[in-house]
Amino acid sequence: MEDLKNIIKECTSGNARAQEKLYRMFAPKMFGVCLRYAKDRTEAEDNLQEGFVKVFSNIASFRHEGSFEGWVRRIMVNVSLSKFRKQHVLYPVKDMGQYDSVQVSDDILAKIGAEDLLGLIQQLPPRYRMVFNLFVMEGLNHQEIGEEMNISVGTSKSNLARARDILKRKVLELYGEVESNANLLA
Amino acid sequence: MKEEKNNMDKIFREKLEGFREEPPAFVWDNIQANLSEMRRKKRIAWYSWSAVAALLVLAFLSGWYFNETAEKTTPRVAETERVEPQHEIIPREREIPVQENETMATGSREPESEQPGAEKTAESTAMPIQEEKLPVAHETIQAERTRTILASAGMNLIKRIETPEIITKEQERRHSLEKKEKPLDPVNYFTWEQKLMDENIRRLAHAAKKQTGWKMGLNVSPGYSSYAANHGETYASNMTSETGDGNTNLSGGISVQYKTGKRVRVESGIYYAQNGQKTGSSPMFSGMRAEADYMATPAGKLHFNTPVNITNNRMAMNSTAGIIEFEGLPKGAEVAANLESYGLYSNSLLTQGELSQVFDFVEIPLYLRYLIIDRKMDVELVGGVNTGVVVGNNAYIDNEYGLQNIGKTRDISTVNVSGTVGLGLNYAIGRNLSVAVEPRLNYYLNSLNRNPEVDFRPYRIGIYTGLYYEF
Repeated sequence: MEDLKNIIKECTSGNARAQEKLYRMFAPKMFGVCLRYAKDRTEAEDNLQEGFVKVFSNIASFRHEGSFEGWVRRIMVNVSLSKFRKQHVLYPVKDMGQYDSVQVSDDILAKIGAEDLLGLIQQLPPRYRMVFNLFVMEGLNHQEIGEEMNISVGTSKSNLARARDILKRKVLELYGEVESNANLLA
Repeated sequence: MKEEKNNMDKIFREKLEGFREEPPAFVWDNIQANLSEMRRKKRIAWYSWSAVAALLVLAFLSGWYFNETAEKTTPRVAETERVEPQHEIIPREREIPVQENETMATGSREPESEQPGAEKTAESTAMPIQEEKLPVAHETIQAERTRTILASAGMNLIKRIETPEIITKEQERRHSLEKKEKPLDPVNYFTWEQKLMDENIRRLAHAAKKQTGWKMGLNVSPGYSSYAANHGETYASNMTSETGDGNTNLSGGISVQYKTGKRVRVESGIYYAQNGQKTGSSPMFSGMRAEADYMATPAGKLHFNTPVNITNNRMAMNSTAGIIEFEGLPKGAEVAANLESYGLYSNSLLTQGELSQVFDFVEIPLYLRYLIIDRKMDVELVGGVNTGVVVGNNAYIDNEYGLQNIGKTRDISTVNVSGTVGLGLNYAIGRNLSVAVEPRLNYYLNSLNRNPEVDFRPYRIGIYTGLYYEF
């Protein structure tokens, strides 16, 4: 921990070696974060790059109050969000449609690998993906999501529901049959 | 149902939270490249700011230095200096209250307009007047600032800057009138086109306000340099004859201009220039100076002969720009002992030919440029101060043995201040490129020589021809 503090301090004064150390420490995890928010790898790579440039140029403003990882992660999420805002002109349309919900047993979900789950998330329509990530992964409530994304609480709620629904359907579509002949695919 | 959702979220969270993937290597390379680019930009920004700061400090110091030296020099010199600014400051002070009165007059008109009945007509007349006054008032503030900046460094410039300010105001007014006189023919445009054009004009006007930028220039100038000199009586009685004149030379340098507004630019840079004096041979063998009457001179041959002071094996001679310290006895020159004690010195130097004192300067200017006419051919007024650092100090004798470096001039101050005025003609030959021809007068405000007996102020008239690049 003391080590990280030193590295951060070195980074503040622009030490290139410390910067690389810091990058090596956090890049894989943050790439995971970026991948979740992006539609594909290329976008995730871009966001990771932009995020880390932000991290290094603003590192002096890190006050050692919260966790450093949380701070870096927040930057990554913000970069992804602002990219999303730029790319998708937001129409404040209320999306309150009722969907027939499907059931997926936890067992199936539990068996799917993280990488595949990530793939499913990436396939979601951009706004659903954002809402799902912010709600599930960052633990934001709908009020906060609404503020971050400039949408209403209702839209956030329905987007989340829709995201879950799509994910479930995808899971069923791809892995639903698997249960019976799991051996073949395992 | 709720539980199921939570479970699903939980599974996603748990699985993805710990998910890591090594990003491709080029991401780090890009980050590094980005960071170093940012660092470079920061450094450049820092450099340019510190350069600006350094120039301001330099300008301030040179102004201060000039004031100091002006106080230190002999009263005779101080007198002429004191007289000049008094003449110029008086009209300036008179000018300001007048302008204030004008703005006050418009201000006093307003309460009158509040009277019922006269309200509408008074307002309609008062408003445009006010609008016209405001920019003028603003300009006077700016002009005032310009004057004070210049006044702090070079008092001689005050008058010269003042007149251009007046001209430009008129010029600007004429411009705005021209625009109003040419109304667009409404028949030729659709209403929506008109709206688009109005919008474009509005944007253009808005963009023009923000206009700032840099301009780099490369200059060479053939020039003629001469001097104004005054000498103490004793010094003069033992001095080379004053049939001196100036010399032609070449100067040049690079300049950087920063555009602070539509019309005003601040310029700095670095120039090389040469100043000096030449003293020709005098046929007069007599008078107060010549002590070598005994020497038989062929008729028609010009000699100059000047008392020299020989002490501790060193020879020194009073000359126009100061005392020349000889490195040795020049070829073709002879030293004669003075038989009668005419002057202070016991010897005289006799030689044919011409004597010259040459000073090389590196000049760092701080100029203000004001655009008078903004056309394809721009006309600008230039004025400002230079810090002239003496980097070369040589004295020569040009006689039958050729040009000989005989030594240097004593008591030459390294840092000097000169004032410059000029008129620039700029012709755009491309989007960013322009050529300029600029006659300038550069006059040293302080005496180059610290010796209180010598007041030597060189000046130079040059036609600066240059190529400018705007970005």
